[in-house]
Amino acid sequence: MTELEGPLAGVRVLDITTAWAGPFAGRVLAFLGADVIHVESATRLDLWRSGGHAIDPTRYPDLDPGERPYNRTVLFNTQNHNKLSLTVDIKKPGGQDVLMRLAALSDVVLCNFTPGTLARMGLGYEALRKVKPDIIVLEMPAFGNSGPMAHHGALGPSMEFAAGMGAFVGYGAGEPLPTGPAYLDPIGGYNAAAAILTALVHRQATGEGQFIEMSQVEAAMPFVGELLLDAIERDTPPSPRGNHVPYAAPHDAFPTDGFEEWVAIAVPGDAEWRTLCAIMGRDDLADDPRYATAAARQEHQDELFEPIAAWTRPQSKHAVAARLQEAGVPAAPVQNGKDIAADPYLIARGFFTPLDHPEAGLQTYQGLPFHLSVTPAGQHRASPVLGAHTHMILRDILGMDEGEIAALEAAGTISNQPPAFQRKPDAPSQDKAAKKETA
Amino acid sequence: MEATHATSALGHLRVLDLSESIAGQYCARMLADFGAEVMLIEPPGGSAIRRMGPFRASGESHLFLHLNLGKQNAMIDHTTPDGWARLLAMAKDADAIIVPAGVDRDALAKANPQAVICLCSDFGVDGPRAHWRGGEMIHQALSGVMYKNGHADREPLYGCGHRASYAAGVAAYTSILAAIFARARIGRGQQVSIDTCETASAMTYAVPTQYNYNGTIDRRSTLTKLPSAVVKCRDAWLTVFIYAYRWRDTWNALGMPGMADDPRFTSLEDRMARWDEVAAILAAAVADKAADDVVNAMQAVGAIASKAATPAQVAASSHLAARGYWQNVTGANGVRRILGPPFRMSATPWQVRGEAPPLSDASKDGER
Repeated sequence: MTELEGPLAGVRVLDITTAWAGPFAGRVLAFLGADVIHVESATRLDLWRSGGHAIDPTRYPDLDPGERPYNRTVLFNTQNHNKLSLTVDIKKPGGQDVLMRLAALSDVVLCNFTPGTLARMGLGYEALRKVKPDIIVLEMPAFGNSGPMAHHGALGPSMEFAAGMGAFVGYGAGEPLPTGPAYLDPIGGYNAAAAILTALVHRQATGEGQFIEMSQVEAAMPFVGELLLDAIERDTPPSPRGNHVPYAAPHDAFPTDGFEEWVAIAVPGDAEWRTLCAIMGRDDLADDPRYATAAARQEHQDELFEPIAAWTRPQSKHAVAARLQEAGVPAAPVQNGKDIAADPYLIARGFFTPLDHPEAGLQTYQGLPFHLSVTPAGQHRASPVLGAHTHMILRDILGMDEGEIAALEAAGTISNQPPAFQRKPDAPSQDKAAKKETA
Repeated sequence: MEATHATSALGHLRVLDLSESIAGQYCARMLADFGAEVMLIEPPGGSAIRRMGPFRASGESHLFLHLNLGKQNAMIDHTTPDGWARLLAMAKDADAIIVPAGVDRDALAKANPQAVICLCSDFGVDGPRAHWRGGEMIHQALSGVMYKNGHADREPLYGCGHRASYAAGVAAYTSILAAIFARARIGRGQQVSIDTCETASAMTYAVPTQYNYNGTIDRRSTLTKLPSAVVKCRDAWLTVFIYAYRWRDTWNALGMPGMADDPRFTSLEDRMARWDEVAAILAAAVADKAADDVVNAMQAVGAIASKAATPAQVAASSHLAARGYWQNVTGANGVRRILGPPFRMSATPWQVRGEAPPLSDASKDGER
């Protein structure tokens, strides 16, 4: 190992995860240089390979799912960089043995299923520590391993609501809103990786492994900790009003030139307000006592929307944001995928990496925010096609001979050929497994 | 809370936190919770975070208290020669130093090559937005999260609180521990850096990569690509998901078996095309029911439903109570409720060492 390898070089992680939060955690560790083996089976694909309930062409290169959509989907392919893919069916002959032998050679086992899933697979912490005394095992069920809601199924938006966040987001009609498709998932992913690093540093100092239980809801609650504690102490329910906040006014998204184009503008204080008015050519607003102080602007914020929107509407969101930022007023274009892909800041930061993938072709991928000066982090290998490394892992890591591998193949244990891909409505197959998973 | 640290994960680490940011202070708070000895370096007049709301009736900042539990503090103006000299002296036995933009990181690294120097900033120090001002809405606008958040016929919403900064704090924590871990191999510390904007940009769905794959952009309305709805019960709002494989079970559980065979919604394509009608029927069906009853009925058949808990409901949650989630801390202003651990470690549990330090303690000038 050299300095040029990532900080976690030499750490082996068994990543038995699905969808977003769990794979994100494994991806962080892989980005930091760990050897991460993503485990699936042909009959129980990672949900982000199978695409949920229907094929959606916008998930595939050139809108074409191809023959093996599970190898071409942008969802799986953005969350599993650097990883090796192992397909092994724990219910088939030799499957459980493969995973137990691999765990004995691993430092970390990471799992994001409902409580008790690892134990049912015969891979609970107590079983694993018998074969690897200093193993670190992390389970990250939505609501934790105990308590009356432990077995509730969950997805990002439902966890976000359970964490109390939804109550702080809305347009003022009382209806709570989740954040995008599943904001709790990357929050869970970042936290799970942090938990594993904590255990790795402890193990390095003492030789001791441990079990970590992370409720994704509890891990997210500190992200709104001051809001929760404030509302609880005052015993007053939140009353969100769009983008308005107590610490700046105006504070909103304003329409700009084009379809669904917006610029976010924040006015934290009087100086920024006067600057904004001067740039808009509206010194009359700056001089108006209704808007002269932060408290006054809070009170009359709704009246200020249209005068500002009238100024932003004919302009480009990028130009408005750049001009205001140059003058010291916080502003930003509300960026979509096209904007982000061309974002000069992210490009300069090295956020994007072109990677070649055998079935998705050469594509540019979004990254992670880790930058270390001596032991660099990064993504150098595209997300694996299903089962791409099964034989290599069995042969080179577990030391199996061709006969043993052929027997597993013959039993269907290590198949990388999923049965019929697309679910039919109400078809019960595979669905027991699906309900057990948290996103 | 009095605590002993015989079994802490990070008890062997000393940390200086002069970050003056939510991200940096949350990072250092986590380091303290898992055992590190953390010194919060405050500028004259105290950390700017003390002046950010929300505020308690006592006038203290909830935000500052939440971010700085378990730390000690010292008041040092490191922009003066004297203050800088004192900081360099303190750096000599630090394992990690968390700094904002504008601090001479190379000098700190030179003073202590074993230390991990962690820069927490909004946009970095040398990129095209290094001079831009951040803030939660600014980061969420740039990240792609805001574009997809909210109703399609309304303005996009940034979300709430300072979640991008908290995420950057967790990422900074991970970076520091990764560098501490690598120190055993390479024999020295190194510099790490976390931008809040980049951290937030990594939390979108596959937004920019989807554009690269096929040129498409999901609008806010595309949340309805999923069979989900937000509906109001008698006492609370819910979010529900009715995937195809729970369609029949869900309507049976809600006492509406006729919906399962309703020809308008039999095919998945028809159902998703008319999802607004499905959501309206569901909303009418649950309007007079108790939210917990609907959640439990749906969960019993494997369908996903969750209450949109208000803070009061989160505080009163029997689930969190059964898990012993909530904690108390005692400070100069009495006993205060605080949040529990983000994750539970069997051998080295999370421990809060005490209330966030009052400003008056900073005059002790870093004496430990």
